[in-house]
Amino acid sequence: MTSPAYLAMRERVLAAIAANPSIGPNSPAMLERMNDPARDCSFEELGFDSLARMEFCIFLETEFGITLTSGEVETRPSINAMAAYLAGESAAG
Amino acid sequence: MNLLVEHFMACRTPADFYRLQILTECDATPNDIASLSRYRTMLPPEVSAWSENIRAMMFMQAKTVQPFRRELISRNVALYTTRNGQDAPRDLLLAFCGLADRLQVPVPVVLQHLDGSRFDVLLLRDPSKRIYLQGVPEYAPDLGLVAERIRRDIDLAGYRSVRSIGTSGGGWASFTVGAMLGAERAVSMSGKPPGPTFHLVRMWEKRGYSLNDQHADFAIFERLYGSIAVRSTRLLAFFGADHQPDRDGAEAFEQLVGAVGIGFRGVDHHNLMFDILKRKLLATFFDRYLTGDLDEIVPPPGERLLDFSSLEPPAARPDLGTTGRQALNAS
Repeated sequence: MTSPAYLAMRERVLAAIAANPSIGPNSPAMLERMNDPARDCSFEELGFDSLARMEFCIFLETEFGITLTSGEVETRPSINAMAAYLAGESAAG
Repeated sequence: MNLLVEHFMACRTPADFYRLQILTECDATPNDIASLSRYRTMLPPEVSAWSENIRAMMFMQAKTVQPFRRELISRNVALYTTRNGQDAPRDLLLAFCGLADRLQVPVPVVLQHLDGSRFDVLLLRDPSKRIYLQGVPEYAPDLGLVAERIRRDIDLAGYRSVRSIGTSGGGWASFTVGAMLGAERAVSMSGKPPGPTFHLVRMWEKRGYSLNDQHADFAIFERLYGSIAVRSTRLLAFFGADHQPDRDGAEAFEQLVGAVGIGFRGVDHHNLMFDILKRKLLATFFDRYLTGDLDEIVPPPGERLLDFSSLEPPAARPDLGTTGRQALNAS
């Protein structure tokens, strides 16, 4: 999945992760995986908890005007799944 | 109507709700959460579900609401007390939040598991996310000055004793300020000392925080830790025994300041407080390690990895009255 809309949303998801005060540091290997659109990384691996999900939603709404609920984050539990959801695309596509 | 309920009803977007939820988890008293619960039918379903979840966490072990009220001392410092002017001598608990401005679990949950008839709680946080390297914003610019400011703001002589606790990035602040104020004991939960060898430095840099020479004089820490180690405060560094970074942090505290590292087996993540809470042992943990006899609770060398079964709850608890916990260990 490499549509411009998807890649743009993936960048926003990464920005929201980088700005999230509730998530700890990532290993270089994980950072490399996060930044590679061909690969994926689950929010669980990144240490997302309920607080991190709320911070994620707040950032997306504040910075990009994207309204998202914590429940929607829970049901799209990875960078690529969330990017696809925000881009209006099927994660399997 | 309760002011907090009004604020929630004024929220319009998920982000509005989440901001207020986070603030509530970092600031609220147990009574605030109980009030939200009373008005839950007037709240949006997701907010109601969240407040009921916090309420459920509050009542994991204790049933009577601890009637703490919050007295703001500075923007990032608040005193929680149940004092009514006719109390027996109390202990002051300094509580240093971690990066998320809470004590690994929401503040009202922690307060509810403390004995409000015994403790006043001075809650401090560093929302700049510099883990107190520059003190507490808008209060004092380094931890030495934080200790001095507390001496000015709080009548320490009016307390029976001072104790401290800090979670994660607040662990070293608990040790440092606790020792400076002559605390009887200081506790770190999943904490680690700042220093050039620790991954926290890389995390700050990754997030764009400057660590210029002024803020990265790590020789300061060597001097500071040397001064802490010779003080009388007993330092207890708790960690998840199966979480290597926190195990390393506790070992570093042992080497640097003579702390006693105590690990709980079966915890393979950073949030030790939540693990204790979900096992319905948080009040028991506080009773033992914040108020218990130090000679009895500090395990001997070589026996410092514990099972949660070591936190056996007492068979029966005394009725502590209207400010106390009356029904511990209820399911």
